[in-house]
Amino acid sequence: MTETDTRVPVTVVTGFLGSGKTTLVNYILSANHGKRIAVIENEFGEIGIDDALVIDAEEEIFEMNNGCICCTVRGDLIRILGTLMKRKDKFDYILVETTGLADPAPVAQTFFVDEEVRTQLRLDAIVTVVDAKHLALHLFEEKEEGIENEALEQLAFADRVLVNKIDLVSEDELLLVEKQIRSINAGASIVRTQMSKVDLDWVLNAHAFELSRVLEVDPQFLEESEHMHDQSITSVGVEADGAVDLEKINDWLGWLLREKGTDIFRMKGIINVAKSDNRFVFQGVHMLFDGQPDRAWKSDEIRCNKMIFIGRNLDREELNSRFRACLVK
Amino acid sequence: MSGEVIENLLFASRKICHLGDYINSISFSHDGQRIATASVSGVVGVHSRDGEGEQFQAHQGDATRVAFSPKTFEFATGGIDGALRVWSAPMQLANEIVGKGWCNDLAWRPTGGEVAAAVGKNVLRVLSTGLNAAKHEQLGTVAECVSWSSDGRKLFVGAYGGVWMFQGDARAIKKFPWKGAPLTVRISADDKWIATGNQDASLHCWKIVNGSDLQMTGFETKVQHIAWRRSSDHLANASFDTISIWDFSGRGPKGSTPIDLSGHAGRIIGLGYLPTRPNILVSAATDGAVCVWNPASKGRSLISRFESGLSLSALAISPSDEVIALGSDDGEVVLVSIDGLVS
Repeated sequence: MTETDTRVPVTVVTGFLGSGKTTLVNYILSANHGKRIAVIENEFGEIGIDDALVIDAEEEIFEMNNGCICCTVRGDLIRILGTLMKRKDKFDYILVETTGLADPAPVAQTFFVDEEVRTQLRLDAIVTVVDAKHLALHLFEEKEEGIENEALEQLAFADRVLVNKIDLVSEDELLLVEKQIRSINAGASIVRTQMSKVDLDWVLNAHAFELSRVLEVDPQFLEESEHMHDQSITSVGVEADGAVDLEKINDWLGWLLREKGTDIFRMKGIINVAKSDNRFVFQGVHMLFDGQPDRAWKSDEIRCNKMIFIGRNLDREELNSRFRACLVK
Repeated sequence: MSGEVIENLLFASRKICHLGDYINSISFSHDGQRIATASVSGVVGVHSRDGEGEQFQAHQGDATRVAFSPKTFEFATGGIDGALRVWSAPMQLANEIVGKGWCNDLAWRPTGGEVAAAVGKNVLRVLSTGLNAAKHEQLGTVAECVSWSSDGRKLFVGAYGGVWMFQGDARAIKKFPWKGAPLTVRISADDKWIATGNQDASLHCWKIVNGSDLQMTGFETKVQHIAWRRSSDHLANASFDTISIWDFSGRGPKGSTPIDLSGHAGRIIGLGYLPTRPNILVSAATDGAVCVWNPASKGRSLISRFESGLSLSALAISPSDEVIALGSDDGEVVLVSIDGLVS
C-alpha cells in the first residue's frame, strides 16, 4: 500500500500471560502520544484511560469454507471492528490484545476475509511479547499429539518480537533466546525490552505487515541454521536470481497453499516478474494470500527473488526446486 | 441484466432529521406516518413525515436496531449495552431487559405485543405490557439474527452453527444445523422456508417441514441483506453491489442459476420488496444510489435509479405506500417518494 493508504492500522499483540503483553498495551495507552486508540481485549484489568476506548471481546471463532479455502476468523472482531469504523470520531490506531493461549491465525485471517474490514482497516503488525527468562520452558513444553504449542505459534506468526524482562537474564541467555526465536521465525524483527518499554513507532503504524516492507531482514537468515531442538516449526528461505513466470508462480503458490496451507503459518515474498520493471510482493496466512505489484526496481538494484515460509514439516529442497521451476528459462 | 433505466419515475426527497452520526437502522410505523431511526451514538429519533419529532439518548454506546410494533406506535430499540427496550413514546420507557453482550438484532412478533432480540448468547423477549415474557435457554454461541414466522407462532434465531427454532418457552424445539455464520435470517411469508445470508459469502435455505437444505455459493462478499417476495416464490439477496434473485416456485431453486441484477457501484446496505407493489424490489447502496427493479420483467429489470448524494447506511420501506426512508453514514435521514410505478 502507498503513503496515501488512509485505512486505520491495527496492531495485534500476542504473548503468554506473564510475558508483559498487558504491560505493553497499558504502556501504549498511557504514553503521551495524543492519538485516539481503541483496544479490543480479553484479559484487561484496568480501564478508563484518557482518549482510549477499551472493549471487552469474547473470542468467537468462525470456520469459513469457501470453495477449497478453509480458514478460521474471529467473528467477534468482525462485529466490533465494523462498529468502530462507523463512528464519525475515527480512531488513529486499534490494538487487538489476544489471550495468552490464542492462536493468532484467526485474528490475522479476519483481515483477509471480510470485505468491510479489509477496505477500512489494515493489519499493521503482529507483535509477540516473550518473557526472556521463561521462553525456553514454553517452547520445550510437551504437548499432546495434535495439539500445537501456542508459544511456537505466536512466534511463527510474529512480524515483531519483544524480548521482554531482559533484566532477569544474562547476555548469553539473551543471545540464545534470540537464536531460538530466529530458528522458528527468521523473518521477524526482534527488540529487547524491560517492562515492555519500546519505541512506539516500532509497534504502532509500523507497516510491518505491509507488502512492500516484507523481508527487511538480515540476509543471513537464508542460510540453513542450526536447529535448536527437535522443533516442529521452522523457517525456510528461498533466494534465486532470474525472472519468474507470473502465471507459473501463481499456480504453484495456489496449489501449495491449498495442499499444505494448514502447515504454512506465514509466507512472504518479493519476486522479479519477467517482462516487468516492478517488484511483485505477496504475503499469506495459511491458505489466504494477497499479492500485488510494488515499486519499480531501482536501476542499481539487483533483481533478486526472495521468499520466506514459516511453518511445520517444511521441505527446504522441495520448496526451492518448485520455485526454481517457475523461473523463466 | 442491463443497468439501463427504462421508466421515468418521479422521485421526491425530503430531509426529516439529522442524528449526528452513522444511521444503523430505520423503521416505519404500521401506518407509514412515523419514522424511527437509530444511530451509532446511541441516539434514537422518532419523526413524522414532515420532520416534526424528537431524538433522545436511548442507549449507552451504539443503538444497533430500532423497530416499530406492527400494530401500535410503540417501538423497540437494542444497543451494544445489551439492553432491549420498548418505548411507548420517545423517552417513555415501557419495559426493558438487559442482557450480557450486544444486541445484534431484534424483531417484533407479527401479531404485536412482544419483541424478541439476539443479545450476546441469549434470546431475550420483552412484552410491551410489562409482564414476564418467555425465557430461552442460552445458545452456546453468539446470537446474530432473529425472525418470526408470519403467524407469530415460531421464532427463529441464527447463530454460528445454524438456525434455532423456538415455539413457546425455553428450549429450542428444532435446530437447523449448518457449519457457518449467518448474518441475517428471513422466513418466507408462507412459513415454508428459512433463508440465511452468511459471512462466508453464501446463502443457506431450509425447508421448515423436513429440514432439507440448500446452499448457494459463489457470491463476491458476505450476504447481509435478503428479502422474500410476498408470494414466497422469489428470494432476493445482495452481495456487495449485486443482487441475485432465486426462483423458489415449484420444486425450488435446486440446480438453478439466479437472475443477477447489476446497477450499483457500491456495497448494498438494504433491499426489500414494496408491500404495496409486490413485484417491485428496491435497493440502496453506499454509492448513494437507490435502484428500483422489476426482476420478473422480461428484458430489463432496472426500472429507475435515484441518486441521493449521500453515503447510505440504512434503508426502510413504508408498509402503506411507495415511500422509503434512507439513512446516511453521517446521520442524515431522508424520505423519498416514488411516483409513476405502473407495474
